Amino acid sequence: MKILLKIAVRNLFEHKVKTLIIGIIIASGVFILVTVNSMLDTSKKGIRENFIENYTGHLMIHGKTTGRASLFPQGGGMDGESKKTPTIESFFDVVEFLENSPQVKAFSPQISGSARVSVEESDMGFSILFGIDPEKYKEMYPQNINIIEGEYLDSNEEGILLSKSVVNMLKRFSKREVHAGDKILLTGMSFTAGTKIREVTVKGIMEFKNSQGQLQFVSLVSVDTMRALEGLTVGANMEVELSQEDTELMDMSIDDMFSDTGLGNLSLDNSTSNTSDIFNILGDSSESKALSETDSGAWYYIAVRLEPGASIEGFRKSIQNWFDEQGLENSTADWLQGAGSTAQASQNFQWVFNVVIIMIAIVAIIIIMNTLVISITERIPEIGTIRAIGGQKSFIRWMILLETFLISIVFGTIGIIAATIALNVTGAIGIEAPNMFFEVILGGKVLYPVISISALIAGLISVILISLIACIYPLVLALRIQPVTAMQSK
Amino acid sequence: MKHKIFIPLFLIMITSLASAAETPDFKAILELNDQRQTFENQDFSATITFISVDPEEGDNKSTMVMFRNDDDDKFLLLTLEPVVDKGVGILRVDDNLWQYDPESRKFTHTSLKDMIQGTDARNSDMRVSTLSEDYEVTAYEEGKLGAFDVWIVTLNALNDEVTYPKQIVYINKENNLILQAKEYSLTGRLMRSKYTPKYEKINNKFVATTILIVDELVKGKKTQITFKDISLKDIPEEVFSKNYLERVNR
Repeated sequence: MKILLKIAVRNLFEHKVKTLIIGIIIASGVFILVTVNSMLDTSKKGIRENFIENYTGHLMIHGKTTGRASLFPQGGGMDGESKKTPTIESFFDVVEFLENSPQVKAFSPQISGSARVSVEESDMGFSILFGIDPEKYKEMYPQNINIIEGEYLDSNEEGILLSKSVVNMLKRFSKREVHAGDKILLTGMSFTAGTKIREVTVKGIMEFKNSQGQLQFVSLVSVDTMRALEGLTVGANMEVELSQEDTELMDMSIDDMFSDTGLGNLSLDNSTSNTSDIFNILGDSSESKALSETDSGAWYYIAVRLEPGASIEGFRKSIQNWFDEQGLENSTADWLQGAGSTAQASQNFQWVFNVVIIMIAIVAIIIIMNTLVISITERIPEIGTIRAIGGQKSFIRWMILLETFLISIVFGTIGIIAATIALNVTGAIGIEAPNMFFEVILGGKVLYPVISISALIAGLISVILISLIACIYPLVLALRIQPVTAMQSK
Repeated sequence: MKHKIFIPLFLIMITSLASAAETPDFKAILELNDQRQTFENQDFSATITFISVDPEEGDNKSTMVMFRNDDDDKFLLLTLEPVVDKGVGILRVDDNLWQYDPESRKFTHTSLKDMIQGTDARNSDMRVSTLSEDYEVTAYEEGKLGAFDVWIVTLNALNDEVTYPKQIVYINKENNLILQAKEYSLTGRLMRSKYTPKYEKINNKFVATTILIVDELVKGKKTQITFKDISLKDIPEEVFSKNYLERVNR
């Protein structure tokens, strides 16, 4: 082994240029793998902690859905769908279950939606809205917002904590500044409830701490205002009965629809234009008012934070069992699903990065293999001589493997040292996201990366694997060299 | 020799003239459609029922009363049903379009492109027809729609205020009425198909009394619009005002 090591080291020094080419590729590969994966690990950990701590809790409870439930509305509240968001079934029973569960530290129900925001009657902006119970929300997320102006929401009063970004948007488009105490109009455009307009008082102007893209335009609003905007009223789920005449064209083929002239002579009705009728056309509106009352048990989600050390999966299983026992069609989702597309985009980016790395690794394998093949070709007389003086194939095999292994370890270590230095430097000064896309990837405006042990081990293992794969073909070539070639060469 | 040249030239001219004579003036047909659906010097009112069927969201039925004055291009839609939306109004006056919510008693500006209370109908569907002003004909061909011979005419928008930048309309050759319209987005995606199989005639005017709108983005989602209780009697001027919506909801 000592001789093998001596020969391997000597060979590496004798073919300095080739050793350096392979070494630089290996060191660069390790450097990129360790630094980028450490950054992504730091960002992933940061996003997880940030979201769980400030926006999603450990898990969320939601009503029956076929889509992916998310705390952030995207086309009606379900990611990728423009559909009605289901409410939690038997909300008050679920609350009682949570209050009696020792694993639960806090919980906060929520209704998410969006609305046009206007000062007076003209639309000038929009906001994502979280309809909340102010007390429960504060209990769940005690430190997640900065109130820039005004005060926090009062449970007994309708109002809105308007996002600073929305205030800036209104200022830009309407040239009007909105301050705490002002009244604004929110116009909800729900797919099922139609257009609903509510006037609310701006209780304060806020921004989320550690916010990134997705949260910039989120404002917190009293739940009853949110319910009204989303059409969550007592009369919301009234059954509609349709007659055959109502839907006569719906199932008709085009040929049937256009089978005759379709023209008739109209008999005019003059009853609606009677002046007294026109001004009393709606009649008694008491039933309408009663049905327009908001439904106090209507909530889309409950975000749940567990006690430290409590098993998230364990609790999810136990509450799901309880839902099944009670015959409730509610379900749970983890924080990542609840966090919606932004947090998921960051997670997906790591997959994309790893796919790119695999492609680069294939190119690296080809370059390393090519360099080793040249090196072996140049050393045919030397290998032939070793074989002629009694060197076994296994000796040649170990010699080349050891050379490759030595390069991997030495230059891999150099890559790791360089990555550690780079991460320590960037960790001290921070990496500022240049735009919203990078804010999503980095999980915030500034990332302070720390070295990830898993990224480090993965980097080293991958580079050794790449080197070993790259040396298979050169090894086959070297083992084919016969002792006689040593005598045939010049 | 001269005669030999003139004969084919003459034939070409005759053929061109003949084909020009067969090609209708589509601009004039669009103007005729607009004019036949516009009630000058008369007010128009009707009760409109919107029936929406959505396989995932369920069924929805809204009844609204419509008051329209085409001379000033103004209209008012007032919801009668469902009871929970009773009194919700849409008012167009002087190029302004407002939405009124009787619960909060507040108005907000809305757009002709916005949908009417969760149906596939848009506010622009309720306005006086202005096809000839808003679109130009860019292509046409002959075709068949059910039992009718039709012109299939491609219309491209002349301004960006229209809801759909491109339409392909099927015009009945016999009476020049539009039977179908395929409405496209700016990217060329088919958004809606609007079928108008029933027109009713009042003097020399036509009212599309039954319309079917097929949402081409959500499979199975359709809206049937039916006009009833049509009247051409005068409507008090104050109906086309915010005050009316507030007063009627008291």
